[in-house]
Amino acid sequence: MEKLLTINNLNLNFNTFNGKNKVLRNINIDVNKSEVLGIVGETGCGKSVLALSILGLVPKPGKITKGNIYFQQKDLLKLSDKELEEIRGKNISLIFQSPMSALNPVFKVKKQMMEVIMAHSSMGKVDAFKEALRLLNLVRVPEPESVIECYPHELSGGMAQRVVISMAISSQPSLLIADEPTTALDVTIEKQIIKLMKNIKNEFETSLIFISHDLEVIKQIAERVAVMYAGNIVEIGRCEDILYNPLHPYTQALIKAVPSRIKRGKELKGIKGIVPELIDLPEGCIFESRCDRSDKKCKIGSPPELKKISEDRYVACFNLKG
Amino acid sequence: MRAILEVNNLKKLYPNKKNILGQVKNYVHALDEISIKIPEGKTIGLLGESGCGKSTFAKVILRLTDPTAGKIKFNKNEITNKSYHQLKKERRHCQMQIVFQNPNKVLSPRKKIEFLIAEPLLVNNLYENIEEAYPKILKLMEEVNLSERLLNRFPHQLSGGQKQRVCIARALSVEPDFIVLDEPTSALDISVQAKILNLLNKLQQKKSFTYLLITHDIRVAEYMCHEIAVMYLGEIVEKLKAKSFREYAKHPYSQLLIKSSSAEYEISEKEISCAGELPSPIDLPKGCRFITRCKYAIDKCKNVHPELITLEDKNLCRCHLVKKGIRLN
Amino acid sequence: MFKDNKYKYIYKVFLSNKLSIVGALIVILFLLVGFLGPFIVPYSPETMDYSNVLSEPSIKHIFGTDEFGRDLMSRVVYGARVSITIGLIVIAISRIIGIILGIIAGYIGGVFDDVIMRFVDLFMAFPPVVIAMVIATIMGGGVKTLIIALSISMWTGVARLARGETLSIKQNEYIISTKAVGGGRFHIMWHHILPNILPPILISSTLSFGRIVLSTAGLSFIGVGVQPPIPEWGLIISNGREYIVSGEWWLVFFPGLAIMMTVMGLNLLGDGLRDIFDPKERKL
Repeated sequence: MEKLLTINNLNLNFNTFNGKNKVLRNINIDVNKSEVLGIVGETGCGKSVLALSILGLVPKPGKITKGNIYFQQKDLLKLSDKELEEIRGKNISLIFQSPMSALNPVFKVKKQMMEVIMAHSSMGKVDAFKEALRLLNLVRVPEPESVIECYPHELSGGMAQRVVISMAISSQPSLLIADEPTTALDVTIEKQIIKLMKNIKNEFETSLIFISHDLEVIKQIAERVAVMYAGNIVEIGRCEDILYNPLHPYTQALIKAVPSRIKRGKELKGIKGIVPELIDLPEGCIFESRCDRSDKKCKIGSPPELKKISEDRYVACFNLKG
Repeated sequence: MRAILEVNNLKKLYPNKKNILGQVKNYVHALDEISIKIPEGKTIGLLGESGCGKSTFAKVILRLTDPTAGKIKFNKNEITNKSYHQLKKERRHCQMQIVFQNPNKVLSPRKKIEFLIAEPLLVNNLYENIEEAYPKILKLMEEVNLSERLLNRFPHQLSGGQKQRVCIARALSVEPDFIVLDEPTSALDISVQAKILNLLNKLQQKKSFTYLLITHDIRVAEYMCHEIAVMYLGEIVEKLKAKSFREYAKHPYSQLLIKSSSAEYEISEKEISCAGELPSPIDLPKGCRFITRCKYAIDKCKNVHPELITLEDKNLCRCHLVKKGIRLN
Repeated sequence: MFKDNKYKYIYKVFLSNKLSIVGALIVILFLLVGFLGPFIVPYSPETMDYSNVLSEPSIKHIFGTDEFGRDLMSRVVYGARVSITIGLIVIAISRIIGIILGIIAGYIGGVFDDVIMRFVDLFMAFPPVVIAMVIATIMGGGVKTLIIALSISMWTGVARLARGETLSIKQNEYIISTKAVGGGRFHIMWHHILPNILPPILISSTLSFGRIVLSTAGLSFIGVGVQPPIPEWGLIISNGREYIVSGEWWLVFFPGLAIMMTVMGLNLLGDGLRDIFDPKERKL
């Protein structure tokens, strides 16, 4: 599989008055061409910050301290702002959770779409308009001629997200990053959007990084999954492997915590303790204090690194058990 | 089984547009002819997506807002026409409490946790001041598994799960019989949700609470509830036992919900298009409200509004195509 | 988690704004002069020395003397105390009235809101000078007149601010949550609305202080405010007016300088405080 994006040893801190918040530590992950990589994790694990750092959009006081992000033979971290601007929206597009924050409320859909199209191509207004309609059809918006004349607030959540997606794919980017794109949508609409994104990926051979906290959603779209916890990637593998045969204690605990009717009457297994502060990091594994099977060796030395268990399977744990 | 809450033909309309003369032109139909009996000691789930009216229902039965029509009986007392103020005088409001969805916004930011937990006790004159209420506060903290140390902190210093526990403690403090849980875990992480759901179950076993659980998440509903009522555009479209929800749900909307939330089901190309999104709750279709998204719709569905009929096992369903013994595929 | 560091953070933001530091220093100087000054000035503001009438600034009389031979510096220093006292009293009265009426208008709304806002409109229609003059005709001039007149004209701004803040806080979910556990109107207004509207009111108070000092000077200047022999800056300038032409510049210069510095300091301080509390201005 050819690699599209390679993140090497990425480290990112947020400098606050309390100290240095080590939000991302030793992130190593690749995305292959034309694949869907799911990133799953809970609040504070750093998944959104990771997405933003690919495009150099991490707000101050975030600062990348180490690492490289290779995309099409270039290290994105070494590019100037201008060079990054060329890539954003053209080769790499970003879709956020709330479509309403991505769309400008005072302009019609028409104007916003045409602006994006014309920025990344040499089309004139007339062609851009036709292209906008074509894109709306592509994302299965019903009656595109009337939708295109609407203002964002006149659209439902699902419809607005489709518009945002259409704008994101207008330049046929090789990489699409979607940060919880369906979390704010109703579950019946969510399914449609997920299927839509799968179709886009297949038709344009775009790679997709899909970020979510919902395992069920990840199951529906991801081919490979990376599990993040408190700034580390703890496990990577094929989707079925991760969800049906999790190896890292955190992944196992996460799956056990999901309610279902099979578990009726029984207690759900939560994870004891809370997510630690990322400022004064303890030695050893960051998950240690909440782990069921931690022992002495988990408390000392450097944190565990991702080790290859089998083809496409990596786990960062000192105490692996099936 | 005794019904702790009985609602009959509950209707809630919000005035929408007014013409120049100030007369209301049309209404938002938030709730329409809702009738439901909630048995004591059980958990009833209200399942639905945005705009179905489930949160409005919670506000109306707690009398935080007035119904437009219908009757509400709580513990055999009719409370429909009583204002919240009157309910407070009779102490009825203590018997019904609510835990809200977003713990981040529900706790007053400049108040310490000890004040927030003492507050329900003080405003209801159960204790004179915080010092007097302290033993009770400590007991409540213990019941929701919160450390005493947190009492001196402010809400922004607590995690999401801890804040939600404070909200649960507040609801518990007045010793209610009936608690409305309005999406209590939607804003929480999966692992935190597990702990909160465990806590809610434990409390119910200990104190025989009746819960009305409002959620859009089928898995939570299936796990927590005895019965599930599915809502769509202000109506109950189906009601059946949670244990067999997946097998026996007959209403096309219920089936759509089940399929949408499971990875196993692949939706067809035709179903991707959002043709037939939610109709406006202002201009409701004449017949069945689900018609714009239903693949089984027939002529009758366009013209005649279906009633809620009782099927086997006391299940209810609002669909012309569902009759006793016949299942839609 | 952040409790200690909130104050460290505020301190740092404040220090990053050089002008606010200047403002703060001036205000501190003003307060020190007002409280301690009277203990360290060489002369009493009232001691008349007919042998030293209208003398230029010199080592003996650093600011010079007035037409009665009174030491100008002592009078200016005492004047600071007068301005502080009047300022604090007016602020206290106007804030109390304004906050109470503003919260009631915002929270209870309806007829209360309409009536209170009409009163606000009514009182805002009259400039302080006019109100002061009317009251002076009834009660005569003096400090009491001044305080009443200024309080009457200033409560309206506070009421509007309090009402606006109340309206936006009212929407918050924690207000509904308090209602749901049984909190009554008064309880909510006292415990949940009042503490949250205090920061913006505090900031506006700092800025208002400057206005009060200026208005006091202005009203005393035209004779409706503080009456002689109380040393008040505006009054001192008023007395010194007739001597400018004959060259006794110090009688107008020093009190004028005092007014200018104090008001400027209060304004700079107020701006600095606003920057702290305005999240959009924050630079992390």
